[in-house]
Amino acid sequence: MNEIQTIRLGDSNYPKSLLDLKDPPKQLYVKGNLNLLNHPMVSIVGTRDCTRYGLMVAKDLATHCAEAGFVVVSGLAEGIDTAAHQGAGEKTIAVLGNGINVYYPIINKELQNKIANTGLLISEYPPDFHGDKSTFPQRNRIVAALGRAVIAVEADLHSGTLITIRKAQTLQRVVYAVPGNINCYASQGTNDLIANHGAKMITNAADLIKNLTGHKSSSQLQPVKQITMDQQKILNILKTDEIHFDDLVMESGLSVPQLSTLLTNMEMIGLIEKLPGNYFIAK
Amino acid sequence: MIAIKSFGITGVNGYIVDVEVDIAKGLPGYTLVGLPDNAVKEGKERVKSAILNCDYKFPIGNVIINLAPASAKKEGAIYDLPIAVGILANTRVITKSLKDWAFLGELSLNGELRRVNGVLPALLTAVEHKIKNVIIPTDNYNEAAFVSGINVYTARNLADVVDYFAGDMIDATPLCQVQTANFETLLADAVYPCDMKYVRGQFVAKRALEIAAAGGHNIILIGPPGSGKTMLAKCFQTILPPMTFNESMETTKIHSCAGLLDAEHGIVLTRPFRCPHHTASTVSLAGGGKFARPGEISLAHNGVLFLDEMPEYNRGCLELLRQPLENHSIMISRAAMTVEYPASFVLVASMNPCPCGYYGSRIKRCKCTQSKIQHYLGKISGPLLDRIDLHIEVDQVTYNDLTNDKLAEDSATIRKRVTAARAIQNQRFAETLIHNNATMDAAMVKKYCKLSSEGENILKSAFENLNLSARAYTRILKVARTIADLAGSPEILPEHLTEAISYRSLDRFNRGVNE
Repeated sequence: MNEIQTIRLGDSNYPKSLLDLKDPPKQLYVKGNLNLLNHPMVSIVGTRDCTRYGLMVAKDLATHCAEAGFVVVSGLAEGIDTAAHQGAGEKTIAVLGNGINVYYPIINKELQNKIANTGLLISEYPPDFHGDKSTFPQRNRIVAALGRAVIAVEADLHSGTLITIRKAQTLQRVVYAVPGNINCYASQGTNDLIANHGAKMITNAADLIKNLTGHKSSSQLQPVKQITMDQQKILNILKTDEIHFDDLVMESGLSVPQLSTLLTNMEMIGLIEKLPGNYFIAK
Repeated sequence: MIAIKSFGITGVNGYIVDVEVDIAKGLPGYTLVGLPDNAVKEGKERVKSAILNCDYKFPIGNVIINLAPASAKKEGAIYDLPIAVGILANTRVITKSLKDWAFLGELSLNGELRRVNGVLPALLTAVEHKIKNVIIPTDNYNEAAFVSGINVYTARNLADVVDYFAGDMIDATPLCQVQTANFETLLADAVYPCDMKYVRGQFVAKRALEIAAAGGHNIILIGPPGSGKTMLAKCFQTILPPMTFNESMETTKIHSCAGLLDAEHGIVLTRPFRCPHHTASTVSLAGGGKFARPGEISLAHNGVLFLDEMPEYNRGCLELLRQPLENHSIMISRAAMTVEYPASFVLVASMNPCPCGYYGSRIKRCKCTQSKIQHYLGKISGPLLDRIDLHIEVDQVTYNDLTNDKLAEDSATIRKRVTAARAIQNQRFAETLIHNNATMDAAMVKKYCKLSSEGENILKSAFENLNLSARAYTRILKVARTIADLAGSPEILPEHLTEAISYRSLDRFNRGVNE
């Protein structure tokens, strides 16, 4: 188990990027792998009240960023933040709005412990400090400043995520946003960022990595799996959207037992994913 | 002293009660002993009025009535008729021997006989004790039509009974002898209030209900409000195999004791569907109370117990289901008595996926945090969830499904397949005490749910890749066995197994972001 250490403003290992802030933290409490501070960072942010689409994208982008050598910074909140930390694996930094010894949100206790072991926890508050209404927006400025780019995955029009983004823009960070369904509340903020506030649109993970690093993503294409006619038929139907089981029955013309069997098989070999509510989506 | 035979009920089984009437010399008095409850006690006033209003004489003397055995609590108004007959036999209005006769019925003040509860268990007791003739109220006619090996007569009033015994007893005109009815013909006319063909869409839920019906598996439906969970559950009874005569008798006995019998049929022909509200108390579910009554789980015997919005029931109510789900009966122990009620039912439960109801739905946005959802799901304990084999997620049907003119399969067609699968199971379990796949014990699972090596690999990969919990293992095997039975296959094939795996969503439900 790593010990909590302090880094003071002016110390050699104090992150340079924080000096861009008007009010850089006087000292940082850190726990975990301090080497991560020397890597280039990308911040991934988004709403707690997210959709499955957001979770999937956040996780996927984080994985790609980590593979390309970036450390993924986020705020350990529920929703997008959690997915980003999970996707990045060990190369992740969580910036807390409370002390490092305090578990918040409690549902992320395990994740917080894991990051303390293999990633890095950062907080500007003393270890046993319980956060309050003002400290969480305060930590957003650190999240915004640490990354050389900030990615907004999902945010509605009133989301706190937009505060982080505005902060990032005043700090001259590159802001990316993930576009989404225009009718979906959780994408309205991010779509607005793209349309009206100069955020760059992310169309796929490979392009993002190319943009961030200047060269192509090194991650290999997944090996092509052997698939049957029926599996291909299902994949074609799932190409556009997540589809409910009943609609799959109608569209594929297969019987319920056949389809149940087929879908479970496809899920086990990782072609599709089953979502709550009996919806299916291609991976 | 004259002794007349009648019946008492404990639980759902009857016993013989001797109604002894003695008129002693001395000051006029009128006493009833033998642990009667209030309804029985008040009967003596009804009897006196009925006798006088039928123009018979009420004896002047010290009338003592004893209900033996004295230690058992007597309930209900069924002793009115035997007491009246006993008094009239004492006053020599009835002179014939009453040795082979038993009586039960409630009297009105003018001597009319009224319908009573518990006639079927009483008649079965009479058969058991080789009593040849029983007289019951006319309104209980239908309930008696399925008991053989005994002469049952119905009487409209006290005068009919007296006239019969005053005559030659060969011409039964004052009474009416009950003719045995044919169970099969009645069964063919049994009507259910709903039919699967009116349920649009919901293909996977219907398939799962078919499997549940075929193997007697408990099932839980998870879905947002308005997704048709309740309608699906109501239709579930219509696809269960038709009741056998024995099942029907067992269920009728319970309903007869609870006074719920439909007078028109006098027997339960359709599998019961009980849906107690989630405010139900533990006693109303399990049975018991001051005067022991069967609870909802016993009224659902051989049928369906539907718990709508399962997490809303209080914890005690849900936990009490655990033992009956294993033993198919419930033992009610009170200081005064212990009774056992049968309770073999298929549990159909429904719940929302989260407190607001819309987690996973595409119709409306879910407002719940992950921790709230976990807390909600946690209201159903692991041991209880362990006893539910099938977990099905349903969502609201789309407009396309609703406007689709093509009617779905009707219940009768599905019932045929279910009955065929049950026949296979009856054969398999012919020499055991169980009747369906859901109730197999560990040894039977091992014997009847053998997997090929391909099957083993599928199951292994499912546990590794799909986050299944270990407790799902036997559940999956049992369900796979039923799916194979539905397909008429003696072996469990890989496709049966994979289908069974797909019906375990709650095991995988908590994934969300915490994967």
